[in-house]
Amino acid sequence: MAEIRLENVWKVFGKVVAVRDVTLTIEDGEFLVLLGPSGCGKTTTLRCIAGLERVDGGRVFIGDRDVTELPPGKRDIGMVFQSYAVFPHMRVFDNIAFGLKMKRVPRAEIRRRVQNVAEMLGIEELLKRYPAQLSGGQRQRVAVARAIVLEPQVLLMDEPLSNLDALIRLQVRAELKRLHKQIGSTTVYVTHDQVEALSLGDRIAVMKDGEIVQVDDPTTVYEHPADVFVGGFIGNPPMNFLPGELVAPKKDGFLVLKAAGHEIPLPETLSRALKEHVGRPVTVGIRAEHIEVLPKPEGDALPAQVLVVEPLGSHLLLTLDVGGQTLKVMVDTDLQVEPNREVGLRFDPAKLRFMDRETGKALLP
Amino acid sequence: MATVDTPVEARRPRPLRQRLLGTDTLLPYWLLLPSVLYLVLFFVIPLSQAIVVAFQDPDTGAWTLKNFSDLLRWDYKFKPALKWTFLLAVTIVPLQLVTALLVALLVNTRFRGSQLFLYICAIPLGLSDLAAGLIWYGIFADRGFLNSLLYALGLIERPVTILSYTQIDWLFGAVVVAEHWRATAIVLVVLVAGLQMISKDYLESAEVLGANRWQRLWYVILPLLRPSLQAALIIRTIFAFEIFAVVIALAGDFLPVLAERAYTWYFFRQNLQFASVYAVIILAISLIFTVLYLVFLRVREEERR
Amino acid sequence: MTPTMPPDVPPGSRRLTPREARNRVLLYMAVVAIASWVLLPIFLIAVLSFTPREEFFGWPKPLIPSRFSIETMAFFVNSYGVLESTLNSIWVALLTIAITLVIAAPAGYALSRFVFRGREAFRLGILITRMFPTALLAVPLIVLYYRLGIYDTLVGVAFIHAAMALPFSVLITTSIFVGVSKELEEAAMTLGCSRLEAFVRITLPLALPGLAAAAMFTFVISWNEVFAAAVLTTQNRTLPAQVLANLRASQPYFKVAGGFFMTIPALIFIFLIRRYLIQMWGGAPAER
Repeated sequence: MAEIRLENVWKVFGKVVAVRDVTLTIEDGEFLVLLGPSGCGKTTTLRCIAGLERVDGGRVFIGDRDVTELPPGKRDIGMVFQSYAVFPHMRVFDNIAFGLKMKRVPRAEIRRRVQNVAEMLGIEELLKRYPAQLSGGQRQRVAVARAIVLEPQVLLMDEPLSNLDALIRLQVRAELKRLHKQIGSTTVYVTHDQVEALSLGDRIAVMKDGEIVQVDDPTTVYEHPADVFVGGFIGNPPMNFLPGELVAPKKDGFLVLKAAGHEIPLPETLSRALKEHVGRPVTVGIRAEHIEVLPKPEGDALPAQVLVVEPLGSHLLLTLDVGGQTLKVMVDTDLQVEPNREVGLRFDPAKLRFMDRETGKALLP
Repeated sequence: MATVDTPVEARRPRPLRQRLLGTDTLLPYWLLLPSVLYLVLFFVIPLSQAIVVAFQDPDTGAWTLKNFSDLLRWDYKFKPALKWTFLLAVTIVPLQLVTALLVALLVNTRFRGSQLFLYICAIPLGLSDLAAGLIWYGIFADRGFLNSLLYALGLIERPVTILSYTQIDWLFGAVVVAEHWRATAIVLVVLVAGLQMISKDYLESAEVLGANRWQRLWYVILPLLRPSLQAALIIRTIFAFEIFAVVIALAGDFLPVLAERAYTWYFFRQNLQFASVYAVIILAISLIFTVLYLVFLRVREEERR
Repeated sequence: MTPTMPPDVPPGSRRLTPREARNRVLLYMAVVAIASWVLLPIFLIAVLSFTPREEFFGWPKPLIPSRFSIETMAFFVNSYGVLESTLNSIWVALLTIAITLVIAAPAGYALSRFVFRGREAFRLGILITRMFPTALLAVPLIVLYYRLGIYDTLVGVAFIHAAMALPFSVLITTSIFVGVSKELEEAAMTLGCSRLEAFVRITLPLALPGLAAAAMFTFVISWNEVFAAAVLTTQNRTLPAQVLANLRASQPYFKVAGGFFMTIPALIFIFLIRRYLIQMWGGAPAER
């Protein structure tokens, strides 16, 4: 097992920078998810680790070895491809044994190891079949078995679930997590599906335009997005954003947030932390589940109008208008609301996230 | 992905073997090199040679049009050859295009057995022009099947001579039939390939929008098929001006055509100059038509899928 | 299927409306007519080639001869130079295949796998070479061949046939390699193969049927080619060149038997590669 280290890695295709100066350390045994929209460079980053792309700048380390100049076959990696890339002209057994044969492992040992891995993945019944006789989920397992039978230091997965049906995807996702616990290889997993990222990753690296925007554990990425992009990309519905301003009232030292035509007083700790940003235009972020909806606008609650009500089964998703701004709010199904109704909103100030309006970057870590 | 706005770290020197065979840089060029060399050797050199021989005085080596004027003076079959080649091309190519389009549309309805039908229609693709000419010779000959059929139908009492130099129109007709039979397959295959690339969604959305069968053909299929039509027309027209063995097999040299003149001048009279002049003329005509098609059937870059 | 449908009617066997039935009849009539138009001449020459000599010259000719006879074919095969030129044709075709595949397959592989500068220029160059008239290639090569000492040799003919087949072969092999997913090769590379090993162990076996089809297509091109073979040889002729050279002086049954004889292998090969006939013309772009 080994850690992976990317140091100032660049990859350029013609005039397009796919990976821009990426530096990242993936710890030994960690499950890291590379997450981002299509075209953000996450797959290219993975292929740079695999050696399928030559980096145009920077270095790649696996363990203590500098593998920048090594071909993929000498990097001690296993890789699962999006299309699985199971060799159609070989039986399942030969597919799984392929890498071992390349390494000239004795035949008896090949048979033993293939058998072990096949049992681990529950495909020992399929060893004599050809890939064309397998379902998508089975093929995916063969691809995983083929990658882990080599007991690689590093396991790389490129959107391995994207070609599966929704139901099987859920099941395989859990299996992958169990498998990672069992074999403990350092794993890098590429996906554009934020739910997958949140459920699988020890840490998530969010990428955009070839750069890494944030690397943190799932809870932090979700609760404390590094910028507007991360907040808007992760979570369903995405984080709400309102333009606002921080002002310092005359009386006490606490700050007040002016947003959507209303003033929200901030608690002491937050006020102290944000003191230096007084007067600056900010973007305020708040998650849909952190807004409390009152049936009527009362007291200090923010008045809002219901635009759309979407029942999602376990919750209701409301689209609200607050002083010309649109908010998405998650509420319990027992709340009685219908479109055009006036309601009141209440925020927990501790759940508010403050970003610089110009750069989009979070003001507090 | 963003465009470059930061200079990339200077590339490090790599081991020599990797620099020469580097996967993402030079390898494709090494792989292409043999074909480029071969094509240069067998296309560029003959082309320049042909031009040299056609435009140079064989004795002095000076650049001249003498070979062309000599040809006009000595080869009384030059003008007929030009005439018949053109007439054959402008008769056969449109006929083939229409036939092939109809058959391709038929195949594209995907009826049961359409694949077998397509294969049958593509069979002539494998036949040489000489063999095709000889096959039709068996039909058009004095005692051939056509005469037998006409007799059986009671239309004639004695064999009618079809392939004779006294009836050049009949020869022309026979060549048109044989060439149409032989070479429509290539147009067909190109058009079927083109039709298969047109997604059914376009046709279905047109249908939902109220377009009838003919409107769908005219406003959806044909415009989307334009690249294939262009390719098929270029290929077929160029081959049409090369027409050779079918004519020889059916008409000998009674129906003079350009390629046959080139062959005759070299093969029977060892005159390389005149043969080259004919070769250059065929190329010139092919180029003119190719350019015409490219201009008039132009597919704008934005229209490509 | 809706649950209200009676269970004894399998899907697709619903009764046709009269209009649909009429259209279907018209469709199949057209199909049969067109197919006959293509097949009939081949059938007729086959019949004629096995017609006894006396009926060959008889008139009117019956559609089916009174007895099966190989006289005509035997006469053709035993004619001076025919057997020899047939062997020559086969040799030339095999040489052409070898030259073409060795040169075209790498180019097709490069076009299918890499996005590189000059790629479009090369494709355009390939397309342009398809437009060269045979006469323009063959006639000037006479001089060059004399100088190189390969005039009137089978190798010389194979060289020009390879040049004529190369543009097609590059396009065909490109689409064949595009058909073998790049990810398979990359998977092999992550499992310890070098690029060459990955090609040999994964791509090549999967591309083999397609490459065989390309080889057969090349065979057909070479086997059928008349003009260049006729101008570049005098003694060592290929079959079409031999037939052509004797055409003016030959008997009708020589012509007919020759036509049929040349048709047979082409028919076989076209049958074998029928799956690829369409694919060859649908040019596909490289994967990224």
